[in-house]
Amino acid sequence: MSMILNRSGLSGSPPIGQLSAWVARVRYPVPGITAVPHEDNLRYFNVTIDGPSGSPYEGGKFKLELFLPDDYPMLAPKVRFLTRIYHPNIDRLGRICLDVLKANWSPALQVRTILLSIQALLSSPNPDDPLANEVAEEWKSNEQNAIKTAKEWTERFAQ
Amino acid sequence: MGNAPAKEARSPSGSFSKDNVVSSKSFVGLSKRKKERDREKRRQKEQHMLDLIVRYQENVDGGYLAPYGNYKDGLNYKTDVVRELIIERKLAPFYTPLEDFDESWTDGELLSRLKRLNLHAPTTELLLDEDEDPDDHKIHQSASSMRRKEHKAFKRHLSEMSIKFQRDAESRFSRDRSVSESGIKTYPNIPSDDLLLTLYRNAIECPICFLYYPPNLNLSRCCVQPICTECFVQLKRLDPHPPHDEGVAPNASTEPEKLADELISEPVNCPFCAMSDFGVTYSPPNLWTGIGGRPPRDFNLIPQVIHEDPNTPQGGSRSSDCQRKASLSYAMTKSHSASGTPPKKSTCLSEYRTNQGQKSFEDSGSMKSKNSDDGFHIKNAEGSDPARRRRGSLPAKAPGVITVDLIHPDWEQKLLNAKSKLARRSAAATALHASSLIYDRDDSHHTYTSRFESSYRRSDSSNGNDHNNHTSIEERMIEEALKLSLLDEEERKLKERLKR
Repeated sequence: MSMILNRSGLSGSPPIGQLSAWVARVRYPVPGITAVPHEDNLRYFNVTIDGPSGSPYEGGKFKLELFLPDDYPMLAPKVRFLTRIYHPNIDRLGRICLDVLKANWSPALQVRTILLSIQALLSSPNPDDPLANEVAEEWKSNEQNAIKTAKEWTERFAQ
Repeated sequence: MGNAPAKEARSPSGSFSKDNVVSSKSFVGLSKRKKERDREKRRQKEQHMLDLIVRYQENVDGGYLAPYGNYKDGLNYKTDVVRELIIERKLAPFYTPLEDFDESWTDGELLSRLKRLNLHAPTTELLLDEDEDPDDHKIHQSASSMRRKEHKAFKRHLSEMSIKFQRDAESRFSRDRSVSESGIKTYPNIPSDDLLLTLYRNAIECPICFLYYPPNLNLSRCCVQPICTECFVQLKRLDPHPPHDEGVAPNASTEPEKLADELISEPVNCPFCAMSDFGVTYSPPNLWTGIGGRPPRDFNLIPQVIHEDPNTPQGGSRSSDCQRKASLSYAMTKSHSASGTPPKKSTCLSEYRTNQGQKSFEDSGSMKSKNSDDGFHIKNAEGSDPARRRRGSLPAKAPGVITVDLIHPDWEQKLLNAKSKLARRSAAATALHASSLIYDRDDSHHTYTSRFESSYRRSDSSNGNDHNNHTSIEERMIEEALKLSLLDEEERKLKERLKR
């Protein structure tokens, strides 16, 4: 932690006063979510999110990467699933369709809030605004089957 | 690699010679105008850079006229507008942030931290991408490649200058501060301990950058949330883009010309409550130090001096006119000495003074409440200040509201540029398409006809026979050329109008 708050640890990267404050906030613990910055790039985080209980993702530990772009917090952080997941709003590349990551981003939102929103998205998939079309179709036409697949994927990829 | 443009340090006047060679044959007048325009642009950029230097002599109520440097990018707000707004106390000055803050700190602890603060975040050399230009390995370099290099060299020059100026300002500040501290000599613009403590005793956190500032932050016009000036100037409209909701109008035309018209640029939403057309208000603390007030060195908490007459409507401007004028002109002349530019804000003084009369009148209500016994504790924004709490949501056009568009007025121009660029590109693409059809003609006559027909189906359906097609293509190309020049002309006119 002291390394993170020490600004000299940023040698080579541009002077950004708040980076340490932001990093500290990102690391603020939330149950079921971890975010650890890379040692060589404090803007880059390894994130894990536990599959919420009661969802087909329960019991899974999903890895994500999170990056604070230069324009952060005026622009949203970039987040992507690294673990494969069967979800109508997350595509094969791990990209996430979530309003707060795009048009509804606000600089007053914290990374913590974003990660919580992603966790909430796992609890309530929205097949009417899909990113992975096939998954969304399956979800709408045969929800039972879709949930079964999601569970299988969770067991297969997210352990 | 061999062409290191940084070392060449070309003078601005010589910088576009290559361009001129290209264009001088037929457009001598035009290139001269262009050169002038380029020079003017550079001058503006230089001024912008100078405006972003934090100089301790340029202070208002213990803050400064330029940002501390939390954000390394996105500083293209209108510096002249913001400086003026700060001087007029319509926007909070750029205060130096504290990275953390603890209410239990003693005055001594707080002071020692405050006295270690710099004017600006540490600056490093700008890491400009050293990408090779695509033309580097060609024998003949295109004019645009030269231009790109010029531009890069100029940018590097600006960044080097800004680092140098900031470093100078910084060392001057720390030198004067330590001399003042030692008691050998005092400098009027080094803030007194009383001023520092008054400002930072009840520091609050800006909810966007998480740094600590004096509690007199700007407040959002809609939901009365605090936001520091440095974060506020970062907010600006997104670049022009097509409307988001494709779902709403799935039959929207795919014709490029129409796409250009559909580009939009929306006002910034409030980061806290998402209300459109974000703006802030600011009520200045009753300090009146620095520009338009007394020297920050002389600020002290002896009640008699501060509250000569709390009932006068001129509550804020108690220091004598003469003194204020002196300190104002002092700050003004000093402010630009480093840059060598003359003080350009002669209008500012008179404007400021009329404004101040007005403002102190407006504020007298809230001042009075603050003027009660214990004097100088600036109230916490979320705290008990009745004036602030009573203030509800304000419309964007209400007096005293500073909107994002006011300090980023270039969005209109940007939208216009994006539109005409897109329109021009589509016109050029159409022309290119048409000309490629002519070459195609001999060997693939029939396919070309059908392709042609399909792309121009709108107006060309009558043109069935082969003989007419060639001429009609030429006509069309001429039409496109006319359209292009009309677009250019239109753009030029609009630009002029915007410049007024």
